Amino acid sequence: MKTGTARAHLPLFVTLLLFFMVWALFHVWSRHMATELGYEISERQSEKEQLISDNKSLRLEISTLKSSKRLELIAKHELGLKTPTSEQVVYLWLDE
Amino acid sequence: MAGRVKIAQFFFVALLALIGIRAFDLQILRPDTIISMAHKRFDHTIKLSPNRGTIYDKSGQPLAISLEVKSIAANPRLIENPSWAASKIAGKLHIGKQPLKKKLSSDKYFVWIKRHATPDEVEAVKALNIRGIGYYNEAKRFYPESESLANVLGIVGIDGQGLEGIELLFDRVLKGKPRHIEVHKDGLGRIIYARGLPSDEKKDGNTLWLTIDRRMQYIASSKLEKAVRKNNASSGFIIITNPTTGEIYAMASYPSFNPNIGKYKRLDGHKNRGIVDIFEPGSVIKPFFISWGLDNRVFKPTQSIFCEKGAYTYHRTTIHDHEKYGWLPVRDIVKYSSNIGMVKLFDPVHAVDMYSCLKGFGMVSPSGIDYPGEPSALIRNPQNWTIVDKANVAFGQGFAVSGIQLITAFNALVNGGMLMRPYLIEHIADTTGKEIQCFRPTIISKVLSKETSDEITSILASVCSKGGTAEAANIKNYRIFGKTGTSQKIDPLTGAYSKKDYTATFMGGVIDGGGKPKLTMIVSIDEPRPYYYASIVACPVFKEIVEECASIMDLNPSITVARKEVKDEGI
Repeated sequence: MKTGTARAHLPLFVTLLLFFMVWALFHVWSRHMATELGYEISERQSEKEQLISDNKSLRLEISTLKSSKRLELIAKHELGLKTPTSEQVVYLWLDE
Repeated sequence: MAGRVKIAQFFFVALLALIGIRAFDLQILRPDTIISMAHKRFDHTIKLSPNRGTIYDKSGQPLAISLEVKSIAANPRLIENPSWAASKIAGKLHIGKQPLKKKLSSDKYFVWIKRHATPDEVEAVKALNIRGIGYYNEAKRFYPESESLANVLGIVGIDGQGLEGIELLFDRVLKGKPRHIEVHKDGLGRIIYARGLPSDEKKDGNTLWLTIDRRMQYIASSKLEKAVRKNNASSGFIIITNPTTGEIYAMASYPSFNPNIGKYKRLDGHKNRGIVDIFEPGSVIKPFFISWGLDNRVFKPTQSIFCEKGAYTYHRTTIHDHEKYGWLPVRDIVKYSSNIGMVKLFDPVHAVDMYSCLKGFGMVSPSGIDYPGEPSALIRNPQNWTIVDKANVAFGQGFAVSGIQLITAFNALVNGGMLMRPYLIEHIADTTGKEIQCFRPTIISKVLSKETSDEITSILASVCSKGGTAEAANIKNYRIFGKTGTSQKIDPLTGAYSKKDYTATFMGGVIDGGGKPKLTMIVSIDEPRPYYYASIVACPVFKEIVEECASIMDLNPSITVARKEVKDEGI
């Protein structure tokens, strides 16, 4: 009688055991995924910081390249340009 | 056999029971202990230094920007051979070997070797592969316009704190707040962002937007340097403003310094002379008294004064003009800058009234510009003026004012009589670019009527016309107005006026095609030699700057407008 009852409950027991095993594996997997995503977020964060830093460096470089002193040196010494005097400036009116 | 199995069963059951009891103890009875241990091992709070805010000019070009650079440090306790390491590192970084050896031989756990090292220097030291050397990210401030704007922006210290100028005054706005974030670390010390960064903790410094135009600033600073060198002068400054609003477009001082080097090599180069230096203004003061007299109907523009042919003895003191003038109407007293004319014109005026004139034009108290270190004017109580003191004050001697006070007062002369507070900061924005504080033009007081302002502007235009003292400032196609001033300096040794040291000043402006003053400027050159007259030293600088700034400011030439009108009428 007892053996019969135990046999009758075996499928339920196995099902519960499987359920708990699957649940435990899922728990471990989800924790693992969370950690992996944490690493990825951390990596992306570093990348973002680096890109912001690069962007700032580039903006500084643009600003330095566009500095009036540098442009004047290039205009005067490389291109042979000079600042026009007021006598050399001719004003044109667009509506005429 | 069965006994052995029973013993094994008992052993495992006992083991499981022990594990169970331990688990019960840790998880149920003392959960906080184990949780805090886990937190201690894996959770860390790290401090992130905020990025200092960028400073922009009015067109959005960065004038001061912070970037992360590497600094090199060492743990001397881990350095095996300090002498050898110092020799190698000093060679790569071009620093003294002995001081470095001393640092590396100390029993400290941390010493800086070089802060703000270049990428090449960092790579060179890394290649040495010396144990105990570390590399840290730090922010370094860069100034793309270098010397041109250094006296205005100021500098920051090695730890990023504002030390001078705008960097100092707006330090709290620019520096932001340090961020503390909680991170989860694994066994290898790698960061897992278990907790995100709350948005309210993003406290990078705000950005400052100045009224300065960096192109005009460069033109002003380069012309100033050229003028100081050409005239063998000791220093000088230029301020360019919008007379209607009080905005400052450019503010140059010479000598200057390179803020990217960041060392105090020459202290006098750090002064923003237009704000912190005070000097006797000389004849540039005359239009202020004249406008006050006209506004209060003390005299009329047509009234004439006999100018004594160049020399006039007034209470046993002889006053000279630079030319021998006879009868001059009031407007010509300004045009030819007659000291005698001013003394005689203001003889009946009380000292208190002359003082209140200066006070009304804001020349007694600081202008209120958003810049640190502005002094008050140096002017005595009018109750203590002698009759000769009053005469001296009439032509700009016996008191001292700053350049910013003079140009602020000058703007009130020509803009319709409004004394406007000068300002350098246009607005403050947060890191996302959202405007959080805006600075608008501020009227301090109304000091003149519109009619008197127009009258004095016309008188000042005559100063720049043929025969006037500022003829050299005149520019073809533009209506120019202004006033020269050549003031003697006090000799610090004798306490008397020096016969060789002068300050040459010109304050002037441009009226555009629309008939309104659009730009005003003060040019002041200190101790020029051998020529010291403002008409020779300062006026040409004004002219050169206006010629170059005309296209930047889109100044419409007056003469062309006149021709256009004639043509239109002909049609």
